Amino acid sequence: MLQPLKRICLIGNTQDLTAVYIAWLAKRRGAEVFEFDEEKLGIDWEFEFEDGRNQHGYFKILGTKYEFSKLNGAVVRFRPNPGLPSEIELPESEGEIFLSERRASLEYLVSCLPCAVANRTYAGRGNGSKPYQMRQLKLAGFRVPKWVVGNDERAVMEFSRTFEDGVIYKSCSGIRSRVRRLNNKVLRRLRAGTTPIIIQEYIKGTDVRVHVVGHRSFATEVVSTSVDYRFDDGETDFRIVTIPAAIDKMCIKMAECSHLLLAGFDFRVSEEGDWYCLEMNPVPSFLPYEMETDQSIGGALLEEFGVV
Amino acid sequence: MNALTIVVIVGENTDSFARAIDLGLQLHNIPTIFIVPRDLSDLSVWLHDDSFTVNGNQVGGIVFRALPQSLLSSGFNTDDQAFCDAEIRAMWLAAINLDSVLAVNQYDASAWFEGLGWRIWRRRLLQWDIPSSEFAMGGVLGRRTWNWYPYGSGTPQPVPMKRTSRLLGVARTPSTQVQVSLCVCGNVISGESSSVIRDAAAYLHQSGIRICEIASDLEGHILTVETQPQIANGNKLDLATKLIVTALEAHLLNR
Repeated sequence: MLQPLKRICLIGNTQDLTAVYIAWLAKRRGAEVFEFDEEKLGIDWEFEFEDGRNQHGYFKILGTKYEFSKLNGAVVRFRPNPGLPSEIELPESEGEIFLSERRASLEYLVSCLPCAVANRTYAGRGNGSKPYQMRQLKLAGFRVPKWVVGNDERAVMEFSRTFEDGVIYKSCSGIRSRVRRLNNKVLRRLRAGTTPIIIQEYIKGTDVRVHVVGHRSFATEVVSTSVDYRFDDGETDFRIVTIPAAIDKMCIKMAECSHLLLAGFDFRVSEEGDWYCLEMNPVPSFLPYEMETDQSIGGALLEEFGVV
Repeated sequence: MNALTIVVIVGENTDSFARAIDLGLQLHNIPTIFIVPRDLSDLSVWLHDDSFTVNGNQVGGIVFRALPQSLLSSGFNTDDQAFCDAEIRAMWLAAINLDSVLAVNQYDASAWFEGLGWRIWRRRLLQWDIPSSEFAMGGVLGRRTWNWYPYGSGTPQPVPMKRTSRLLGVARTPSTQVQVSLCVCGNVISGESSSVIRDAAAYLHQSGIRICEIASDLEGHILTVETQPQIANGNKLDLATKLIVTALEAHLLNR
């Protein structure tokens, strides 16, 4: 019996590497893939729906209508700085309003699509505030490193002295989020007056990234000589690892409660074997982990869309 | 109550509600810090576990009357401005969500980072099955007689030209606002008080919204929600202030 044609779409930045990879994988599995680029809204494609009526609606691509009900899944990735349509010229302030409105309309579209979406933009927003998210993680049952937020140099130094292995600091918002050891440069900035930073106990150990896709998880140990392997130069080795059942369960539950179909959890596993959760990422870049370990994270996501 | 526990009010000097709360708290011998949003980066802050201090004072209440996307940190280099605003924004979201703090309003991360716009509350009201005005999104169909509700402002406008509508994926409604209800701590204190509005007020209160203005249409359906309403001087202001001050005082007493 012929399987019905599966359809997925990419929304936002259709050139994003993760999105491109998922599209390629989906096509290999026989699915049809639509690309709804943010910068081409109203030019190459458009949409229409009434949000109060079971989200019935449709996309229109070059004159052809596709109902929302025909879509099996959506992958959402947005550019940090999208551009205006090429045929439009606006003063800077009006251009910003245009971009903001267009983004808001796509976010609302994504929030209303009846198919599985990775991820709806309202999901996992806590990641935009590290102190907020750290608290959420702790409430969810994860062990988290001790941390404070402050901009008082003396208080920061006093806190940092309580830890034998020292502390790291990072931004509260996650922007410019390279994790670094506390140093004189940042202490001078605090002394001069700056925005608050997070100071967190440094946990000696190994990094583990756990990708959650629906009710499945994929854990990768990252052995690195860096403080922050994501940004620092250093030798990095990726290995598949088994995680404790309790941690696995908490990750899946946290992602589900956060309405995330795809999530990336960062852990530091101490030398004593304690799992410290550092962050839950709603837009995880899982490609390096998949490429290095052959874990089929992208495939699992497609299976959530029914594309097998 | 700890004598050193304060309430921080973040608002513009022209915000009559913020000013009234400040005065009301002081009349109840509750110390406050009133600060305009762009000066938030001037504060010395410390957030640890469930504790938040500002300039060395323990914070028990926060009245946050600014959009999170506002200018929150003046005095930095232009290149650093956006980053500094993001840092302040991130920290205050954490602060308003502490159990030790009673916040007006206690926004969650989703509402906070989506700019507190009307679409957030609409999405939630629909999920709670609260009757809401009809809206169409996308801009494909004409309907020039409808009203356009920009996501950023929530103020009705004429629907733009078809081309612009499609480029923006605009949200339109045939409904017109006919009444506005002011809701404080889950109760309607002025304006229309139908069961629909009372239910909406109650649900919003349960999700941390202690003050809001609910606009409804001719059929009594919810059109928009504004969680930082401007309240002119008069009875409404007095009553809203009294209720919020009472709530803050009760929270501080029970800490």
